[in-house]
Amino acid sequence: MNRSDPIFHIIALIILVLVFFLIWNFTNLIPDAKGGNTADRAVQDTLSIIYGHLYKMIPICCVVILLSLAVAFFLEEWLPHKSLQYRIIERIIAILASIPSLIYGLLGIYLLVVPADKVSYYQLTIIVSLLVMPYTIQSTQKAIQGVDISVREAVYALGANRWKVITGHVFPHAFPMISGGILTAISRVLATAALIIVVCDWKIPESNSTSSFGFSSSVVVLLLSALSLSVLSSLVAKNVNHINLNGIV
Amino acid sequence: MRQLSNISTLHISDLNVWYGKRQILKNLTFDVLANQVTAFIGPSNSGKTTLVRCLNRLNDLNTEFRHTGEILFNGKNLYSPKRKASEITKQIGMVFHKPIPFRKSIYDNVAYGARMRGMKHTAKLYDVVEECLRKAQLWTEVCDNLKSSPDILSNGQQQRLCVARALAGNPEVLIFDEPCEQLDAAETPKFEAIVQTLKNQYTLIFVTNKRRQAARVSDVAGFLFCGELVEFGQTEQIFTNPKDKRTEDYVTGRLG
Ligand SMILES: Nc1ncnc2c1ncn2[C@@H]1O[C@H](COP(=O)(O)OP(=O)(O)OP(=O)(O)O)[C@@H](O)[C@H]1O
Ligand SMILES: [Mg+2]
Repeated sequence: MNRSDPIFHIIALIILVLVFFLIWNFTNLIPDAKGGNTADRAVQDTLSIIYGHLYKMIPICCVVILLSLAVAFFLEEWLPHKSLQYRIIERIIAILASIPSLIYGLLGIYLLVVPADKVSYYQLTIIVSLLVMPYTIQSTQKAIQGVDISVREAVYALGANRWKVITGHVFPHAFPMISGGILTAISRVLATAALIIVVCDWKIPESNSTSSFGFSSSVVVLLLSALSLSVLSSLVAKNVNHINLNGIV
Repeated sequence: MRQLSNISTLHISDLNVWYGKRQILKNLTFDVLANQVTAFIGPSNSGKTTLVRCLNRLNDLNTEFRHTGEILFNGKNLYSPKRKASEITKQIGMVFHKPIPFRKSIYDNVAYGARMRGMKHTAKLYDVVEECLRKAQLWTEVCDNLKSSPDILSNGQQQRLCVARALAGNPEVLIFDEPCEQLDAAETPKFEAIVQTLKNQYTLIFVTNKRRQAARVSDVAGFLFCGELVEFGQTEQIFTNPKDKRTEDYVTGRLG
């Protein structure tokens, strides 16, 4: 990766600070959320609304992303590309990945908000996996396909087995692009969450916060982080091209 | 007249190869003898690469690949279901038509080959790296830069690094598939000199589409044409007194 790219660093830094800030606040402030002055409270409201919506999604996202990586590697490294299974699965994933996240957002509204106030893990998992899995699988597939075939053969020619080739070469070479795909997938989740909050005034059962400032600013924060994740992921992807153009693989 | 060793490292008989429905190699029969350079010449698309990739089972990666016939490596079936392809590639190394350094330091590139055969001890590893770089005649050029990335090296140096890396795996046979294709005029003789010195310790197979290069480096040569092994024999005889008309046309430059 091109370490001298300043924008890359700045944005990465901002995101890290944001994430750190969120974690810090939730671990420290939520118990006494109603104390302090109004400005403090507004910030706390914002954060607790975001947190209220996201805290269940974080573990789901992690599991779903790991699963997607496994599926992508299975498809690309184990299934012969001319086999029927590969072609069918690959098509299904491509179609699911091409559906705009807005559609999944609407599905989310229908499943999560309309029936009840209570958000079940089951429904949330369905939506998050639909949002994340096809996209991550597809981008990981592309990343794996992008690994220079000659490097792969050179490793095999030294007596490596498939596992060594994947862990030692395919994954490291594809990693920048894989992480770019994951970042975009997460940003899709954040943006969709913002959509649902805005459209449906999505309630958090555990919180009795009603501050309207906190409400709209939470949407803004979600959208901003979604945006910066997208920018970050495109920068990561751009850096990949950079490496390939510079020759050494 | 050079004394010929008569130990056959690889024995190939009636080898036919298909990619999908298309037959690439037809009825090849020949022996590769130990401590000799066996060259394969032939025009583009004659199946040279396909042939050598059968010999170290790299073709197993291709799901379309199918073959009949027998390949014996030191008397044992190379394609026996009990043998893993990764065990074969450890014993039959390969240098490709373009330099493929890994994104690691020069030292780690060579050490990678040694680690593949289970070496861990660092001091000993260092000795192996030095020895292999010396064999590839690269040591004096890189000994001060072992920790830097191989992209500071020239194309020719990178190719020699790949030779050193393959040697670090301690193979018995080493295959070169048009190794000088991307090297300039100054690098090519150096590379050919290395091949000559390696002959004493390894069995070498050298694919090239430059006729004169084959004449310079090899002891035994085979002429492949459209998937057929038209002629196989002593290099001297192939180049001065070919039996087949097509071989004659090729070595004199009228064909291909
Ligand atoms: N992976 C593959 N799948 C299908 N056909 C292939 C594959 N690789 C090579 N071929 C075909 O096999 C034939 C022989 O190719 P091969 O690469 O062995 O020739 P070559 O003698 O090495 O040529 P060159 O001098 O250009 O390297 C060609 O017609 C080529 O189209
Ligand atoms: Mg070739």
